[in-house]
Amino acid sequence: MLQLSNRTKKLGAFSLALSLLLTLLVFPAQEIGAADHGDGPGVSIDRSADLNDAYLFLDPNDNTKLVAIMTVNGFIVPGEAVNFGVFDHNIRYRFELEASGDAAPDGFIDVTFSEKIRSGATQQTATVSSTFFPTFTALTTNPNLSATAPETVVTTDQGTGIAVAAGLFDDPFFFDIPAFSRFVGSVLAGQPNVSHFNRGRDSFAGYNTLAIALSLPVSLLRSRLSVANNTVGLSCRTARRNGTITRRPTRFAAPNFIDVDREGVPAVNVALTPFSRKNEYNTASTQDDAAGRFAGDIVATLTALGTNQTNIGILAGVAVTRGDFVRVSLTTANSGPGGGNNANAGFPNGRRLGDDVIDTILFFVANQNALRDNVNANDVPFRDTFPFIGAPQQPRDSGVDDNTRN
Amino acid sequence: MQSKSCFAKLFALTLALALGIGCASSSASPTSATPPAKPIPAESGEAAIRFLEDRVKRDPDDFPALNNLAGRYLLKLRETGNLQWLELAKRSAKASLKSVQAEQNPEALHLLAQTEFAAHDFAAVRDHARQLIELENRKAYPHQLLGDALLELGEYEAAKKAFAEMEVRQRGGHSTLIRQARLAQLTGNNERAQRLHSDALQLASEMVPPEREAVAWIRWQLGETAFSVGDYAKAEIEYRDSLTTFPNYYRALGGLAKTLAAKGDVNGAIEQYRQATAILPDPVFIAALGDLYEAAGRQAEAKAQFALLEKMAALAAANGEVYNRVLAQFYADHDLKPEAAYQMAKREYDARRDIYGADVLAWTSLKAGKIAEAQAAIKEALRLGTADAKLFFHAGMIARAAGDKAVARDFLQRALKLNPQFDLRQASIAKQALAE
Repeated sequence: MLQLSNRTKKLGAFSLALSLLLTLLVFPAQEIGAADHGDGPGVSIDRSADLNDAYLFLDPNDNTKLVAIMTVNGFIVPGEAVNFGVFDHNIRYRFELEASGDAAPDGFIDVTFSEKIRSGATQQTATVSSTFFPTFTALTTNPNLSATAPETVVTTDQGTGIAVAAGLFDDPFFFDIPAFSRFVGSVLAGQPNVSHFNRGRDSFAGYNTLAIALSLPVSLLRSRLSVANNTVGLSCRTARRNGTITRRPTRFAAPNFIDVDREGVPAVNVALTPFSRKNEYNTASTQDDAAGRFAGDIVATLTALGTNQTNIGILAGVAVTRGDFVRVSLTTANSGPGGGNNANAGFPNGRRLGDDVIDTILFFVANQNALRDNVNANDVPFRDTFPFIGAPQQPRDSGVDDNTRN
Repeated sequence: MQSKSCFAKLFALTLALALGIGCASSSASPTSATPPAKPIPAESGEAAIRFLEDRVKRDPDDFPALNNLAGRYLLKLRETGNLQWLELAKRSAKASLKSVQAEQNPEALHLLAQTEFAAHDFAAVRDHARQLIELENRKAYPHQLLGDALLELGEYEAAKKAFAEMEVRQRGGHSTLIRQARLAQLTGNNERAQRLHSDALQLASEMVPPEREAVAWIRWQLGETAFSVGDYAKAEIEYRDSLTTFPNYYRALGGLAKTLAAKGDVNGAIEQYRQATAILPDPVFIAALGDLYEAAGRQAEAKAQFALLEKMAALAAANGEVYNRVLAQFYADHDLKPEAAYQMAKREYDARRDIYGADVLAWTSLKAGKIAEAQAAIKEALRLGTADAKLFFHAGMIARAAGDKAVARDFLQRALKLNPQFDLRQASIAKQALAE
């Protein structure tokens, strides 16, 4: 019924309603195997640790600050803030920073959260610790269910000058997933069909995500991380406290964390790494990337998509050769609204919120021929000041447009 | 001993709560503490469903939204047992696969397989699980799905292997522990099952966002395991905890009713079953409510319940074979339609050769006067060594009909020792048979 015309849909709905009515008259609802005990809950997705995207750009209002954002737990329906707008207190959200130009991280910034107290409007407390500055704390923004989004809480640590914002936000990513999946399917079937991209629908429009945004003084990075080539890279990683959700043999050891997910350059993990190796990729290191552990799979995917050696080389240079980091030049000026939009300063130089990263990747996948997904911007505007990411979408009445078409 | 340790646990729990400290579980595992029951707030499930339905109306090819929607329908199905959610889930999963095929969209195939499981089409689940293993071998869920299907099909060794593969991929997750607990139950180790469920509860309670139905299900299952060994005090606590987590959870309402009946609280049991059947007219609940009315001398109300079951049987026949087992069991329990019940059980067992299918075939064979077939079937039902009072009772009654008094006495004694009030009607019959 979901794919039928309106007219057929109405007939189908009538027919369904009639059959349900008849059923309910005799048998108000039917039982599902209550006598069978084999219907236990299935394997759960570790949503809290499920990374979406990593962003890294110079603050367009003040290029002496570097903004790093990780988004996790996506596809949150507006209004589902009670349980979903909460950071898991057993997850470590890690910003891995690379500054020396190789594939090894040179510094970590870890963010963990206090357990959410469900009664009342108590905010969670984020603890921000690092290998290169003293630990401090910051409060999250509590989500609400009213028509107006809550004001974003931004905390600036006086000692380091680092600003932090964490909470529920609009999902800043924009991309047509069905179009891309169908395009990939057509290529793999030997009949590439770019018309799949004519849909131009943003699969992320209307949804919220959790996000952690940091504003880092460039001077702090330069002084503590020995930045080479004026470039800093970011790889985001989530890890779960050992012994929570799953029991592992090492759970009696000192508290530690087990890697769950990571994200650097967009699409490398999601689109270019085959399903069969995603788990392995998620827990591997950026040094593993550089050592070529997944290069064969990524090259195979690109080759299957028809990408030539030159462009495979370019994409590999961005995401493989020196590890899957999104890297930004600290000397390339960034300016403009919504986190910056000036030409030649965006992805693959870092990643700004408004950069159409999918079109850029498709451009190289298609051997530098124009190939676009026709989703060119986010469904809601980004903000002009830190944390730049849009306020969360609030509950809406049924039938109100969800902005999936740009 | 069981009761004593249960009271000790309860006392410890009360003391720990009073002192405001964590409570260690009475389970033998030192690793788990059964978390105290607390309500888990419901999310705006209906609003989210409307949001997603609107979305797929606008874009019928939005397969991530279709998958999300199918998952929410399936959760509603689990929460309510109402089959209308199953049909909606199936349509969404199929629409998702129509938009993007399984190779690029394995989640939709997983969802479709879950609808097949709910519809008891276990052969289809098995086949789709194998396809998913090809696509996502490194993940735990295809192996879980395969194991679940094989278990229902009675292919226990293969199921065990599938769960071992699952365990390799998700060591000690709550869904893994639940499967291990099921294997333990089937092989007669109820104590281990209880321990594993306690561990599973601890782990499921740590999920963020919380999984209300999963937590309530595990608490209900803890109640079921306690009931199965005759520990009605513990069972009642577990069922009530499940209802604290998830008010009006139909499985827990049914479990609580069964427990109150076992404790002799007929009116309390009637009230709980009335609540349960108002939410979900489960044939098991309706049959039990009819038995309770009969026990209370309320014959007219008992007849009304049994008449309702007959109507449901007619409807079930039109809906396929999902209810065959339950109805065959009901007929045999109440000495009704022996041949029809036998035929239903036989059809069911031909398609699905698990031990409980063998048990229903044995029980209906006995009632249909097919003693040799009953003996063969009950042997199959007992082949794993499952410690289940109902199986023992059926074995005892079959041996009695075959004239083997010693074996009959042994099985009937085992049934009543393990779970003295395993069934309001049948436990009395067991006692009478033993007294003769």
